Amino acid sequence: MAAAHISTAHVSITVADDHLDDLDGVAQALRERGVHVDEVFGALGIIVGSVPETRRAALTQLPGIAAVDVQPGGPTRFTVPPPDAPVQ
Amino acid sequence: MIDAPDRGPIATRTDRYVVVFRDDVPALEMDRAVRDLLGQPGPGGAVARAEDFADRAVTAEEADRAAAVVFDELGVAVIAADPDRYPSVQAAVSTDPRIVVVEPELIYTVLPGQLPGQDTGVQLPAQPGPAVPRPADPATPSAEYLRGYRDGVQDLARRLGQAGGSAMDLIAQVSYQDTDQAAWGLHATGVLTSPATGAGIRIAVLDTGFDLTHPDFSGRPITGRSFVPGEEVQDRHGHGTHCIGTAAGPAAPGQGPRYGVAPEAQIWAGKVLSDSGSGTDTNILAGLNWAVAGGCEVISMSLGADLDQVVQRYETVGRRALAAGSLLIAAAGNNAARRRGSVGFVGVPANSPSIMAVGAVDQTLAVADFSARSSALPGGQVDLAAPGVDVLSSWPMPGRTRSISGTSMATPHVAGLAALWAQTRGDRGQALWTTLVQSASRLDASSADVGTGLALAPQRTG
Repeated sequence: MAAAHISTAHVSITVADDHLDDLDGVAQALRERGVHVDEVFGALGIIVGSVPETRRAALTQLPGIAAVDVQPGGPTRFTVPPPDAPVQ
Repeated sequence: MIDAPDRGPIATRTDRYVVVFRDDVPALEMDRAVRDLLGQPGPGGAVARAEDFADRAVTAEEADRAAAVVFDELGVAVIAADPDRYPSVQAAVSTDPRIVVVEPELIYTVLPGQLPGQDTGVQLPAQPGPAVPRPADPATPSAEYLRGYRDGVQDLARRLGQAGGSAMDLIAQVSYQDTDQAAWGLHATGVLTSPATGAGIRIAVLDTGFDLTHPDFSGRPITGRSFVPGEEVQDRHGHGTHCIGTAAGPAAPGQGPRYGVAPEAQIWAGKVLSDSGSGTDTNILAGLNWAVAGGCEVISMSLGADLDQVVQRYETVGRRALAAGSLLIAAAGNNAARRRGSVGFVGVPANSPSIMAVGAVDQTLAVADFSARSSALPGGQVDLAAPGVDVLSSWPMPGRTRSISGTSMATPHVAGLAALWAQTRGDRGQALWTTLVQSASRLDASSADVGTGLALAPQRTG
């Protein structure tokens, strides 16, 4: 395989309601399709991790996946202003 | 709603005057009083009464032809008088027991950049004074003038209604202040008269952490967890400590006025934003997961990203949290600059339908300049408003307390109030949401800015 650079997408994967009781199974299926799973949030039914861009689209076809959200350039950043800002 | 003074005058005066009668003056006596003022001895003539017109709707043209119009249901009349006569009218009124006050009539205009039906930005002069002739010829009133007249009468009627009919209340407009007893927001939301304390309710505040050494919280059990890699719960920013103070600060701080809404709630401090004030999705989802799994009935998120788009994961998370009995409350956002004509939009995650979005009001319960308006997205609406200007709360030592502004400060007010309701009624999740929006005090401001209004504390019943 050529050593072309393949970019990686940070993803938040929403598990469908009907698979909430099998989060570990869904996570394993994701790993088998190239997802590096960072965290499984059991109370929320959300799995976060990263995946090569080329393999991302296929994830939505997996059973038990409701949504695959990706932010260009990395995860959404949430911010609050510096402590001395007038409006917080 | 009366505008903050720094928006400048937006009402101009006419050569007409508004007469406010005492509550117990009958309609016929109002007629007589007006005739006395005008120097007209008998009935008929140029005094019109609102009930003489179809549907009691007086047009500006009709009002212009009459020397006076009596709105007897309101206990108000509008009279025409030459500005030179104003001092003598004032003198006559001061000895007339039927009349409370005579003030110059104003022409009301919609503020630049505002849409019809929104805040008319009405401002009354502090003292009645000599009138300034209006630019339009009264014989040919412009459409602008007609609208202004209608808005003026409607506004007056509305404020009379609010004031319970008392003209003195009408003149003394609401403005809350910090007192020795408590921060203004606690006065405004009825916290000080509420029997509830938040006891038994867990409030998670997902923010920059908490100053665990703060003397106002000594001896208070704090459940803390950091989701920021390499940083501890200890707050080296201040934002999180301020938000936690508003939501759950003590009933009697070591020094200074009370600033906490739910003093006996259990505090869960989830650090999802770094000491420099930023965090990722993963941090926040991790904090949410911790709070929902821990059974927190209320989760406060004074954070946001200025994205005008639906983010599916937050909607899903909000829905699942509600089903699990956790209410997510988020700041609407500070991306408005209303004095410059920009109303902004509710950002992520507050724009998720299942996450409650909180806007900010000031001490006069007017929408704060920075407070974001509802967006067009489904779920992008502001659901409630709360105090968010010059809010006093705890700050990391050695500062101890600080007053700051933002929808970030409004949000923990609602979180604390939610804990009071959860304790009082046992409501959880969607039921708690419903109780909060139902019990809110309606405001004059547009629902696009404040939702159903100002969130309130439960009061003793019966």
